[in-house]
Amino acid sequence: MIYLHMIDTPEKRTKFECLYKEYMNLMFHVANKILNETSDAEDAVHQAFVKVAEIIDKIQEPDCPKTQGLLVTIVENKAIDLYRKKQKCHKVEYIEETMGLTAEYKGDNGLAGCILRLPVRYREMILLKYYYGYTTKEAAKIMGISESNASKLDQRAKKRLEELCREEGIM
Amino acid sequence: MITDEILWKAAEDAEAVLLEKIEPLGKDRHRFSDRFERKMKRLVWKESHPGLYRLRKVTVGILLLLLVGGSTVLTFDSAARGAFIRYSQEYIRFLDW
Repeated sequence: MIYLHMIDTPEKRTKFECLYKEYMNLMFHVANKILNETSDAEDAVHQAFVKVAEIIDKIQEPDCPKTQGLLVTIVENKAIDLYRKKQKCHKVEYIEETMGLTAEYKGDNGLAGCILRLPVRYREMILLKYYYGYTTKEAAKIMGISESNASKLDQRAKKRLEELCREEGIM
Repeated sequence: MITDEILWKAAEDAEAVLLEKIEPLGKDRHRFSDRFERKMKRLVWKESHPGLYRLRKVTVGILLLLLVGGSTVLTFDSAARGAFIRYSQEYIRFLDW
């Protein structure tokens, strides 16, 4: 932190530092909610920032809701990865069905409600592609998976979304 | 059939709801551990000085190459080994003097 203060002039502060200062607490909050363990949550935040550093050129304004949402998505992804590694659990589907941020949609857009009901991996893929506008290749990089796996994930996410929509009577 | 256009709008609404649901952070912020601060300091430095970081990596690479190359030569070439030992002894004598 002393180092950050030393270089804390508007000219010298990079976009990365701005993101770090602005969102470290929020990201920790999200990771801790999933992991319930402060040291693990810190590790997830660090891993998330490593990922942010890789895609820093694709991040537009540090101080905007879209950036905030992207960082939350990345840290959520990293926290779930870490949780899975710690548990050494093979029930991947179970973890993905039950973990991650949850929210209930009460608006008119039924499809938005269905997106929120998707398992976390599927939801992340849909949001990365259709909200943040990343390509499958870029989404794969963010999620730390291969491009072919990302492509399969995208197809499965859409299929599951269609199923949910049918259940809800939207389609 | 879900079209991309409908999906764009729905994804926007879904993300907005998801972000709304994150509880606001209280005044008591988490005090990050020294280990985390150290790791982040390194990462921030790397991102703030990409040129210097690359230079450092190249320098370390060259030094490692010299070390490995030098060790290999000394292992297999007895004349070079002898010269190196003589030079080292002279250097130590010079330091003592």
